[in-house]
Amino acid sequence: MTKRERVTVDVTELPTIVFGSRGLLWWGTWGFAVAEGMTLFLSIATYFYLRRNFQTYPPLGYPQPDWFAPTIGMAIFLATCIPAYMLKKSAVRLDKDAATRWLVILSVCALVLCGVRTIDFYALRVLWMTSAYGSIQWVLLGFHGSLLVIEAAEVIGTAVLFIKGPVLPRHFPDACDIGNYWYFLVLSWLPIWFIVYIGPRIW
Amino acid sequence: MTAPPLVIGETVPVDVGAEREQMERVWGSKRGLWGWITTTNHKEIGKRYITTAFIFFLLGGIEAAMMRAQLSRPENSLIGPDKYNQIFTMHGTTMMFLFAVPIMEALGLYFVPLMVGTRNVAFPRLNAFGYWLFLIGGSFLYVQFFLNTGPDVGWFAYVPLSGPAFGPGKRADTWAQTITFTEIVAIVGAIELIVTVFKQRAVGMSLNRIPIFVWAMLVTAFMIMFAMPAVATASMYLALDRLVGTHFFNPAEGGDVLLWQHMFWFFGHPEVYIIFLPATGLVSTMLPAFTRRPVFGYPAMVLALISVAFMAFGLWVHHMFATGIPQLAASFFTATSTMIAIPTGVQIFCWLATIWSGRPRFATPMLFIMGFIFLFVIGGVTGVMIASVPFDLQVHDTFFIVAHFHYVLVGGAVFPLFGAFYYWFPKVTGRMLSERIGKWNFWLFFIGMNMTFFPMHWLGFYGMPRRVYTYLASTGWGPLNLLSSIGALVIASSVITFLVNVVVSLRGGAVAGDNPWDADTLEWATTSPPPPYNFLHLPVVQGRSALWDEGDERQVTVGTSTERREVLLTTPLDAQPDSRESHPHDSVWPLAMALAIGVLFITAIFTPLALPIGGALALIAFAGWAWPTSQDVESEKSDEKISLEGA
Amino acid sequence: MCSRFAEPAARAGIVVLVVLALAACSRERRTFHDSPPAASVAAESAKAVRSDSGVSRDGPYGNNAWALSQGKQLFSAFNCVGCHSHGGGGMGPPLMDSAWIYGFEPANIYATIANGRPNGMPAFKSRITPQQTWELVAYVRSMSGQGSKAARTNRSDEMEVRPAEAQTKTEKPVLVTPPPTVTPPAQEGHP
Repeated sequence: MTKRERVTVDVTELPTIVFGSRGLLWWGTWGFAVAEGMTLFLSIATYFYLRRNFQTYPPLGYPQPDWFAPTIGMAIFLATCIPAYMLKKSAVRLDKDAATRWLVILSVCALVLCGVRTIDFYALRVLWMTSAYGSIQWVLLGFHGSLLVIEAAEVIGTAVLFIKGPVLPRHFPDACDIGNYWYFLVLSWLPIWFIVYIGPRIW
Repeated sequence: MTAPPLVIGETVPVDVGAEREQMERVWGSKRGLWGWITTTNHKEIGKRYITTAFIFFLLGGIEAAMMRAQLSRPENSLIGPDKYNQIFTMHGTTMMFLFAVPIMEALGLYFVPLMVGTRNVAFPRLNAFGYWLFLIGGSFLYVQFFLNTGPDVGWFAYVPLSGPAFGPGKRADTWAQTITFTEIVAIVGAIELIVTVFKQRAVGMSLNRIPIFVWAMLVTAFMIMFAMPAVATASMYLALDRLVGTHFFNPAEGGDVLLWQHMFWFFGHPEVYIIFLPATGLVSTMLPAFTRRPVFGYPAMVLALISVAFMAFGLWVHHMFATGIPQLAASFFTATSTMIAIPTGVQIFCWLATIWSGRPRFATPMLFIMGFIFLFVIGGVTGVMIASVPFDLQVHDTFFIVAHFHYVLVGGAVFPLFGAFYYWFPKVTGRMLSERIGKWNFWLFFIGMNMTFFPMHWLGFYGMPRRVYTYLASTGWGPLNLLSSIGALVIASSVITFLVNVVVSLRGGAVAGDNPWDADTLEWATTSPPPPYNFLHLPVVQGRSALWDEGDERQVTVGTSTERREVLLTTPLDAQPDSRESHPHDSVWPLAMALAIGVLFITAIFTPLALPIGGALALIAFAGWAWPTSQDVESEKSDEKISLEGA
Repeated sequence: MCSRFAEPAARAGIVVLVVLALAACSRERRTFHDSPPAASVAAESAKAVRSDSGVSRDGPYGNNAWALSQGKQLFSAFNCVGCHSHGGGGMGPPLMDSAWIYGFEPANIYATIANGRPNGMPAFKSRITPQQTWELVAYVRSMSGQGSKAARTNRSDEMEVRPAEAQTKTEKPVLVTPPPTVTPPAQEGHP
């Protein structure tokens, strides 16, 4: 029934823990980032599509969104790339203590950013149900915000795991991928921050 | 285990019983209900997926039969207008979102790991989660339908009809949430497929050697990643408009109804190819077994798949010719719509060349392939016709369009699918389907299909609009409609024939053996049905037709663990061995996560409290999913070999 | 042990399903045909209070989404907006607050619409059918959040003037004293 089989490849000596694009999770992480990035891209496309329906932007009778607080928020966002970077570095060194420390710091950052996002909503100075202008502003913030909340849950969960749980070797590449996803989260906020708070003032 | 490890150059001994038992212990799922719920084996889940999607096909078919019964004569009063609206919406939604896309992905999730020679799909728990979510989403739609809350706004749910002002009640919300469910399911499936194909191929199966079905699934998965977010975003806008009063589609407040059409068709047209490309992959992969030669023009086939995928995103506006778009745009989209016929034509000519230069054997799968080519060419030709704006304006929203897309989708996807059922049934169950009943199945389907849908071309020319629940006798549409309805009966009898065949063959069909068709792809290298670990020793691939190019001796890999679940990762392009990665155990948490998300989506229709409640439930499920169990700790030894290269 | 809990659980499950089914049925039913008009307004409005008529205390259509949306259309088609605005009131009293002059029960509102009231509310019984009147009754009540929330209408495809009925909080209706009558209408007014 079966064919004769001859051994030609022996993989015994291959590593079992690998980092970056050599592992599966890296691909999965970026896969989700692409799908979510596409959603953000389409929301931005919607913004420009709806913008054509208004003679002035923001539409007459609506105040400009506050730019100051969200820009500070943006700076905080960019600054959190540092703990994300340090997390990746310590994970690659397989340094559990350092990785735990940076995960905790990143968790705090994530919570701070959730607070920042609340301020961002107030800074819009418009409600979603007043016009399409308000709707798309809220959706842009809300969609990115939901990614932020989910990622905050993941970072905090991983931090708890590193403090309390059994840390397995494979958790180090996982921590690296958290850093990667964090970059995506920060980078994807840049265009949204720009078109929501800065764009209407300069064009 | 007592046997010394195999080394390079050695021949595998005939008696590998002990090794098989050990692998069975490591990869097998628990017995009984608990094992059934927790399994993460891609074949178990794939089988369920296919069965569930096929049940939705039967339900969608029953709805189609009800519509045909209602339209069989003028001024029929069998089904009232309100129910009819729900039924045609359910039919379209079911067939597109609960049958066509899921069943193609399910075939991919079952066969891609086998075809690329690995032990399981990447992210098996995500796979289980995807299935459960699909089951919950699909059941939700049907429960709502039986509660008279089935969507009644058409499968593309145009605003303002589906919007808050004109879609009272929860019917359109049901549609929007069903869509959200199926989008998530499709996207997680796509990610699994992409990663499996890129990282888990057998040693030596470089990118230019993978079977065309795997190529098709890879290309489709990428399309899903870019197309599904569009409809997910659109259905989110719709839900927000309906539930919390946003104004995306309210022209009086700066919204735009055409925004919906753009977003929907930016997904909706690629969707057609998301259904059709896997079907072409099925055909290209089955054809060698019945023509005794590798498929003609492999590079042309692959390039055609890829170019179709790109072009598919550039022609969505041809669904919107009647909305008054600028003429330049109309011309552009006419051009792209016509252009996509070129790569599709390349594929058709490659199939013809394969058949022409091979030694065709007309078993049932081959009959379905021939039927597919015939029907799809008809559907393709009418497609080129309606790509032209003046013609499209004439037949827009008539039965001509209904005829066109049923030729494309039934002819182009369902026929290859039935061929695939006949072809792979022995691999999945270990028994052959009856050829005699199979021939009946094919001819009834082929005749019924033409009888049902060909008259619709004429009805469209005579001006019969789609989505009307009845018509007057004086229109003269009665006889053709009657003919069409009789055709639907013939199709129904064909599908019943198929079900009979399945039942009869499962009990007493001929035992299949490993490779009943003497085919060339790797899934035939293992037993039928395959064991939980797929291959005892992972194969090493020598050429494009893996089983035909290996000669009388199969080269295999050794060195992956037999003590724990482990998959071999290879490099993305050349499939050189790169690492061994530990593989997740069975888990009940994917089901818990699916339930949490289900609660979130379904209750969101009624109350904003859904967010905190569903979110908290999902958080619990997430923690359970990710937290290492003692089993994980045991199998992931601290002496793992860590490589920092490329970090 | 299992079976001891299984039975009550199954029963509870069935009860929940039945309740869901009933709620969904009354919410989603669409009635396109008029019932024959009753002999008089009194007889028709009595429908709403008869316990055996299968009618809930929200009136025949208080929980029915289709009727509510029809009522909303009638509300602008018959220019109720002209006096009551979009519920905020103007020449006529506001309808989205808790105060009711002539009663908040469906039967009262039916009588108000059909027969008219002093100080300018015209009688509509000769202009719209009883079914349409009931649809209006349901919609008018929904403006202050009465009746099933799930069935209420959402925002219109119009300029936003007030949050949609589905987002309105449920007011607790109270009766207020009617204003002094100025001139009783001599005949059926016109809208």
